[in-house]
Amino acid sequence: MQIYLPIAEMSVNLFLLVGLGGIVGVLSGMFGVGGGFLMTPLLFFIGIPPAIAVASEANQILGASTSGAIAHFKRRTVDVKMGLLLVLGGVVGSAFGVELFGILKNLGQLELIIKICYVFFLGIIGLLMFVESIRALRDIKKNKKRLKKRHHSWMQGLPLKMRFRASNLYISSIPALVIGFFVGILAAIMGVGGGFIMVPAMIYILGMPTKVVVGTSLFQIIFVTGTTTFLHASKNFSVDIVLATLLLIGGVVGAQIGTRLGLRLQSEQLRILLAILVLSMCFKIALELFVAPQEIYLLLRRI
Amino acid sequence: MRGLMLFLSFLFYQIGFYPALGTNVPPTLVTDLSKKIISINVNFSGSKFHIFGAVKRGFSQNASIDQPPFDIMIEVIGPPVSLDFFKKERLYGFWINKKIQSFNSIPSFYSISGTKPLEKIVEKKAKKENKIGLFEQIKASENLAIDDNILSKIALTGKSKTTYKQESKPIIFLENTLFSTEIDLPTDLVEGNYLVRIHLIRFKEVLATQEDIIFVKKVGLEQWINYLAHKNPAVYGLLAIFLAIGFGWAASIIFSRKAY
Repeated sequence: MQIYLPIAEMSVNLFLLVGLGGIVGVLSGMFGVGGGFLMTPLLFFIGIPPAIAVASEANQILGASTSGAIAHFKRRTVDVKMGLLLVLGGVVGSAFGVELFGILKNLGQLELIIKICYVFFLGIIGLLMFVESIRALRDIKKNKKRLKKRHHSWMQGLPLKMRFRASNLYISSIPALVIGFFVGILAAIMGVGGGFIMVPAMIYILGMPTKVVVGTSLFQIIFVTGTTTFLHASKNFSVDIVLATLLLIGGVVGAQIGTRLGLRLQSEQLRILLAILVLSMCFKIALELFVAPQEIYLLLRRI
Repeated sequence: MRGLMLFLSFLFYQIGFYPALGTNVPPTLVTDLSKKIISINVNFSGSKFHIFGAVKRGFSQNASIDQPPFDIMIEVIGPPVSLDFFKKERLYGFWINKKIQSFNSIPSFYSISGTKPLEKIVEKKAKKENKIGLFEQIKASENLAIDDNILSKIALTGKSKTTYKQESKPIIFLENTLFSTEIDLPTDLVEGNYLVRIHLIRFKEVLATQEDIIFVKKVGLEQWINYLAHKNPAVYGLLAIFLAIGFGWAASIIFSRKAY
């Protein structure tokens, strides 16, 4: 059954979209990843224009993160004060990213930049996941636990120190603002929540305790993807509500299945498969950038 | 389809008994379209329409069977849009887009078909005089001089497969009088008026041109969403936000009940 996407101005199979949403939902439920960095490239592969894919995916992530954020909020595993700082940085970053997005689009270089970003980040995430899961497997065998580094010495010297009760920290607010800003740009340009950057940054740079990390990152993602959706819709007219809703329907159902599957299966072993999937997507996009294109000339709509 | 056949037989009847005027009236065209409006609705996946018509001859040409044959050429021209034309070039290993031309008012769709291969029907001069062909249409609507070299590259873009068709399905031409053809419209149609131009040609000269319009518009949900997104983007953005949160919230309620 074909469905016409009013903003993308193209016709796509309805079940393909819901199915893609579902598969990515299962993966994100299983591994606790947001799924934006999986979904947006998949949308490129099925022919959705990158500008529409990115903006609509930000909208979808907003919906997909809502239930998780509510659950963490109820369990009080959100550092609201830290979250608000990350949101502040994120909103500014998002506004900056959306502006940049519009400029790049008019220059005709948007696709290129989005794809370069994806090759870069998918490559890094894939490799890290791969190494991490192999190490984790080895650690299970040797029954060792690795220690985490906390508190970098250079951070102690930064001004604007604040107390964060929930995280039991007294640190400068500048790193949180910078991390938020960076994640905001990624949300606007890549259509991702940015959890994959934020979660490690909160643990390793800010030194936050792991129990509040996921909740706080979801808290930030909700506000930043919301802002990104609004700005893309009003500046670039590139949010396709029909696309986002269909992906969301598949996504929320898939995430529930994934969460239940994740509890039963050994996710550390499956994580290698996810790493391989991420690396192969990185490879496919890289090919498009480096291999001679079939069509040398192209026409693009101006907004 | 039956309606079309009835119409055609009616046309045949009319033309066959055309009153004898005794003067040498030049031939003209009688044409119609199978649709006047194309609606883009929720399950739109491209569309088709038929163009059909007949050559209406003056008296002196009426009876003679050994008349040299006519040719028909049909163009469909979409509403103008702004497009940038890029060439991919290699830079430090990356393939980047380099802008070579900006078009401010280029047809969003173009299709041309003929009773014979197009170059056998008209020559360049007649094409220029009558603004036949994609390049002539671009030059006419752009209102500025564009390098022919650049124009010829448009045929090499991916768009040329669906959007800029230099040679569409051939026209069926019966008894040197009745003709019909089918036009395929892609899914990425721009809303607006699509101009249909039908040319009657003999000895590479354009004898008559008949114009008609087919209107493409989004309807129902598609129209509403598109209108809101472009005319009231702030409201649309808020709607997108509330819809996503609403779905996420609803899902969390539904599934948390199931789990316990």
